Amino acid sequence: MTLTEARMKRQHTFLATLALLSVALAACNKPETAAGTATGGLADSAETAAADLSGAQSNAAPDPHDPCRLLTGAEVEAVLGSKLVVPPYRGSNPLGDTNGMPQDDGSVCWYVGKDNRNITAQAYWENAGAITAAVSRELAEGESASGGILKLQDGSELVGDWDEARLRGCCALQAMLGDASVEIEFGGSQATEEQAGELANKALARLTEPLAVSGIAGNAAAQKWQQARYAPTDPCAYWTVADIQRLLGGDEAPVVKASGQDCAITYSGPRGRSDMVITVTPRNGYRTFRRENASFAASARGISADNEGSIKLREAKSVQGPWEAAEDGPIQFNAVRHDASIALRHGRLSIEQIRAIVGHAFDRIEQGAGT
Amino acid sequence: MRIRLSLLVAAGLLLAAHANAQNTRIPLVEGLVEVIAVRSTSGDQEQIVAVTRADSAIVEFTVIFRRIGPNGPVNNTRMREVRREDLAKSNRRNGYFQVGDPLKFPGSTLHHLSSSTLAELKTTGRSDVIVGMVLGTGDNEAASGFVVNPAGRKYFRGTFIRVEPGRVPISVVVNGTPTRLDTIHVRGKLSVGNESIDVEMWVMDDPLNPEILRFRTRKSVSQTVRFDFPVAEPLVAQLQFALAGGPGVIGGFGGGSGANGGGSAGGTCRASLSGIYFDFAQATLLPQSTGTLQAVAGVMTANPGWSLRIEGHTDNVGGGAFNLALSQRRAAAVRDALIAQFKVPGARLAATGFGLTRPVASNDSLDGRAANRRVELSRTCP
Repeated sequence: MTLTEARMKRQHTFLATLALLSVALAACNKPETAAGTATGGLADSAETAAADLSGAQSNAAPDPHDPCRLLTGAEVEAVLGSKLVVPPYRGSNPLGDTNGMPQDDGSVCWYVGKDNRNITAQAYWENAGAITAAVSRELAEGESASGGILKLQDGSELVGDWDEARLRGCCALQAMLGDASVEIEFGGSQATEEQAGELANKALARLTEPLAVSGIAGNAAAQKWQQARYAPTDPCAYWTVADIQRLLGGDEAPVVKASGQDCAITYSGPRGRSDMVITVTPRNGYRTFRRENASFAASARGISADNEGSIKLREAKSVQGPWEAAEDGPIQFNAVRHDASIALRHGRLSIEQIRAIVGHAFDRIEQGAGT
Repeated sequence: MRIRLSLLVAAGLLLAAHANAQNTRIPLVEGLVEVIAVRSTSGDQEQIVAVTRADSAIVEFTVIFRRIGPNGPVNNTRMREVRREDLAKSNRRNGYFQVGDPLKFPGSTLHHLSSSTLAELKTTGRSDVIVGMVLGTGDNEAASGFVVNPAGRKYFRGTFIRVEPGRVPISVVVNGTPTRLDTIHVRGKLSVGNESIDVEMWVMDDPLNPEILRFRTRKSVSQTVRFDFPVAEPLVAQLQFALAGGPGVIGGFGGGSGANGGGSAGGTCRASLSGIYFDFAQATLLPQSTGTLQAVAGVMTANPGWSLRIEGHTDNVGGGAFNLALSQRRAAAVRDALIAQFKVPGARLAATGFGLTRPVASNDSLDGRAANRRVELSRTCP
């Protein structure tokens, strides 16, 4: 195993641990009575109240631990820069495998705007000190982490109405007050840390005086919206063997096969047989794109630091192409379009070949390939 | 009998020193080193807090935590940057370190209340505060310590009320001299969620440096017992003066009149060596000792005819045999460092340990025990 591979493995282990920690903490945070408060009546009211997406009113006894009671839709719309496309709804953890799916006992409130740009909010109503300590330990073990410090572009640090705060990964701001905390995950948006901080301040202020709304009321509409989104199960659904051969050339037929969540492709080119691995995230792509870029940039810095500068990986650079944004880094190429992201790990592809392969997949996603 | 006489003489000197040091101020400057003692069932534990950077925006503290763990002595070093603006006006204090903590906690102080909080306590007798604490750490709860506790840090809120209307002096060894520093004594019941705790603090009555000198919660107490900081008169000059038999208490409890019965005429010229730091319960010198060792070497270079005796002294925790051996090893460590690092000829240096036998203060208090843990230099006066 090379140094780069070793670091990447550690980085992935760290990220996976953080994700697991988030899921575990979210599970711990689920209110005991939340499941019992889910009623068809509440869900129906959300569908019929589509004109008001700022948070549905409910006649039922409010769940004191409803995460959607911390921010109004309008407050998040101001940060997203667009109207919400579904009412705020209760769902699963933004880093989990089922991210974005509504759950009546969900501990996360989802706010989804135009182009599926989204921000989530959740709260730990008590024992946040233990959660912060656990997160800090994880951050300490993630070698590329900076202790969760909230450094802004001008070198100053983000300050808010909290007692202390951490930035987890690239885009999860956890702000603690007393022994409670809120977490604003803004990786699915273009929000800045400052904007996330403003949302965290508003949410912290509502821990003791939450809004009179119900997150569950938005779940039925969110369910319909999610079901309408494209999500094939086959990670290779975006290319046929003929597609690959046409896009990359070569005399021999490529081998295309699924490998877990990835699509592994072996193809022939002027310099012989080569391999590449492509990971398509058809939903939650904005968040994935932002997080992957941040974590791989940190990995690259860590590799350089580990080797006291003797190994210096090149900086990732933005690349134009048939996507909204793309970063061509030393470890991985990442691109995003309409909340779908594509990660490509390869050895010998030219940027033109990457544009062809990735652009084809984005087109297929918009055509609903594989569904 | 000798010990009792020594203690009486030392007590007299302590009083004299205290009386002369009413207006001492501790400057929050780079180079300030502080020892915080924590009373625990296993003996006094110590933290060394050094100001490693102090500019107009930031004060950087480097904190060395020294404790006895299950597998022997444990040292942890942590750093924290505190903004000057928070030292001026924040009402939040986070004095605890956890694994993975960032370098800065904007909006919080570390070992201080802010100047504005101090002013409010003095003018109105009360002030709202936020105190971050990690509870459930047993008898170290009051220590501004390095903690590993799954419960994590919580921020307690409440109001501090001034206890006594006047100032309350606390005894601290300042640059080797026992000094009474004026404090404001405050107390409050702080709470978070359903949890509440009584907290007491004694805060230095200095708007430029309102440091918490003593912190008590439940059964746990921590207290600053020693400050060393750069002074206008170089340490080498102070040592030269004391060891030459100059009058007064220079550099500590001895001085020209000799706390241990020596006198300048034909007696012992003596100086207590401030600025020497060891690993907890060990004889390993810490890097913070380098400046003082350098000063001793300077004195020896300037006075080629001098020979010095390095004396180690301890408190009474741990028993006579342990402390005698420890004091001997510590004195030897200072001698070895002067020879190895500063090329002082070994023939001019002797090292002796006296253990707990020559206290200069009562061993019943944190500050008294801290005063007794010391290294002195002596030479035979001409």
